[in-house]
Amino acid sequence: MSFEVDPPESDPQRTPSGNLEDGQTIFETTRLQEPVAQADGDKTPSVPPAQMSFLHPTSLIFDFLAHAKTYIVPALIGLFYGATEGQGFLLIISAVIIIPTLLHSIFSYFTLRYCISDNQLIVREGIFNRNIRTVPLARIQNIDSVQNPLHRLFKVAEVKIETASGTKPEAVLRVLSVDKMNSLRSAIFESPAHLESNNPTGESPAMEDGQSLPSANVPPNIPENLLKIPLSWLFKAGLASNRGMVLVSISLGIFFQFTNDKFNFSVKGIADLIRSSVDSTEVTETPQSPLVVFGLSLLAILTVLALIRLLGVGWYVLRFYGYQLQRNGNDLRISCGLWTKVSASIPVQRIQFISIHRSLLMRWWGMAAIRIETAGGDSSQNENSTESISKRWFIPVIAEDRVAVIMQSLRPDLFWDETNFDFKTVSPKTTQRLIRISCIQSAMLGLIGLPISLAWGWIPGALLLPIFLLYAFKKGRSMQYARGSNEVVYRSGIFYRKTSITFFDKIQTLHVNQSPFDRRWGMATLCVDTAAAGPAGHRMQIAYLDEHFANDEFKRLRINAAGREPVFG
Amino acid sequence: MLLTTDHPLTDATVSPEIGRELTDLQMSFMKLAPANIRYEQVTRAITATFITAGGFVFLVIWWLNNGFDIAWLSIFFAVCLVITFLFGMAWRWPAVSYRHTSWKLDDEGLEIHQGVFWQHQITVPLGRVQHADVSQGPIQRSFGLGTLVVHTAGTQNSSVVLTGLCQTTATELRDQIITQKRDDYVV
Repeated sequence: MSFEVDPPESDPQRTPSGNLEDGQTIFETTRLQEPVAQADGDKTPSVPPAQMSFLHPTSLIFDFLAHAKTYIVPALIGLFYGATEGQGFLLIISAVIIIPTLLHSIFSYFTLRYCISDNQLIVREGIFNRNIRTVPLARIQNIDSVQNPLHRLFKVAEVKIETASGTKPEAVLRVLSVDKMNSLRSAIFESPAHLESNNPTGESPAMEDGQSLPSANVPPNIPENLLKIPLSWLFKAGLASNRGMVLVSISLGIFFQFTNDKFNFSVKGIADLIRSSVDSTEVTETPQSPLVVFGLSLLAILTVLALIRLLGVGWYVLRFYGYQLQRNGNDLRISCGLWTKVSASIPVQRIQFISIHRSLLMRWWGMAAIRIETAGGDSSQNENSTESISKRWFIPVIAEDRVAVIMQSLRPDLFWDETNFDFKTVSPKTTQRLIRISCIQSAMLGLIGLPISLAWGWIPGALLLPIFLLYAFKKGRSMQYARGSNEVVYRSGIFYRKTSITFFDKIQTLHVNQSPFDRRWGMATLCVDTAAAGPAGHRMQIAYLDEHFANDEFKRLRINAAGREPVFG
Repeated sequence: MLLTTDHPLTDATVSPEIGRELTDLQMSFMKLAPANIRYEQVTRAITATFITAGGFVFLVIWWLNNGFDIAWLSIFFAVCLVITFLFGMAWRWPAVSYRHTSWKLDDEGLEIHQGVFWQHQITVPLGRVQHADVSQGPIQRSFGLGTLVVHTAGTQNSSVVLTGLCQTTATELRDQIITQKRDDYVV
């Protein structure tokens, strides 16, 4: 996916082939087939070589590590064994794997150069295929940087330059010194072309209560702090999340990977392990009363659960320590991280979809998480990676009373007050329909159970019926839909509640779907599709709506979506 | 704001209830090209023929291996039943499906209604079209039919397909959609 980024008046900077009729290309990539001997810079088109800058010398290390990280451990083990055990072929294999990467890193260090010239960022790279990438400054959306402890040791950072197109960054500068990164950042964000494209009107979006948000009128190099997450919030978020579970499953996987000789069957292995450890403790010497065994196992389970939660806390602290959200002109800047420091910027007008998530514990503590979706770049697959913080984890945790302020800064024309929306529940017949479904489900379960045991087989089905019924009852009431003057809001979820909001000018397509069952109940499903639907983990598919209501909303939203100019940008 | 206003900004900025009766929009729904019924019949008949051939090959192999017995006979009748059903559907279904398909292009964008049992209404609001294609298969060409594919920036329905239009209508529709598309629309 790629979209046109700036208003047409910046055309003079645009290269002729960068015409975005089909939304295909944003930058112009020139490929010159040149032999490596000529790659020394004497044939640099349009830019004198003196202006071009090299990357930081430590790029050699970081580039090598980045390319070699998938195999560096086995290769090093191979080298080690090869050297100590005198296994020559292992040595050769390892060398064959490592040396090309090393050569590639060296070549790319000596061939990659960048500069800013004529309102464009020019990155020239390539060994055999010379690749010159020209990114107009006006098109640059984000300059993200990642700093892990090794980066910080050398005072460098990996810099990613992003435009609105596609999922990959337009250019990765691995690595730049922090000073150079800052000067690059200010050179780009304070260039006239960039300022103009990001605030074409030059007027400041005013807030309802008279306060005005910072905009291009305020010098953009004075960021306004919107949010800092204290450690206590991170603790709460970690305790409320199931993050630790993921870590446990990963560590279990590693555990069984390395101990597969001993434990052929994992479950049996664990049982043996527990039995042997229990046998060795003093519990066996006293006669095992069932109470002691029960108490001990309860304690063990509680300990494990507590450990999982603590791991979750650790994950949150590691990732979001020192979280800071700033507003700089029309860009939101995020920076966080304990070991690996991430900083990212999100242009406000790119936000397609905002989702507020509240788990049960978070609700008790009066906390919430806010996720956003932006066009271009989908990181729904890897929510653990550092790149996904700006998209997948926009605000990992926030106190309930701060949500409204943040929402306003995400969308100046939005006055966020969840109690103020005219929420419509789904069709009143929904509960009845869901109850019928749960009755059928438990009857099916009972019927499956009967052939297994005539006397007892029906019990699971019967036991589950009240749970199903409760779920049906709760679910029918949890789904709510509202249409504001400018936005569509949908909330759902019984324990884990999600409230999502999108705006008329962000709607891509609208659907009303009706299955034969829906028709029987006079219901329909309304779907609102936006660009980049996914990372927030909540889709606007509002099922069980009354069919007349759904059709009416479909028509009204259709008019609203078409009759509205994009609000900004 | 440097946006062309090729359609008027109504009071919608204040209230979503703009001065237009919803029932007015029910007008001007268009059907597909009638030739599409015959086209659908032909393609479905071709598919049914292939399945029939497969069924008879299976029956012959069974007969060669096991000879003629009661199992073969029952399978034979089952196959015959399925084939009758397939050809019956090929004959009758396109007309039913035709009655349930309609589309319109108005000031708000493109709207399509489709589906007999599972009914879908889909709309692409004005200005959301990234690009639009018209495609035509060899059998479609002999009937003068075409397929319109509208691409949006959406994720779940990034392309909306309307098949069975007259080729000329499809091309006209595509041109209209593209001119309706606002170049300055930014996601």
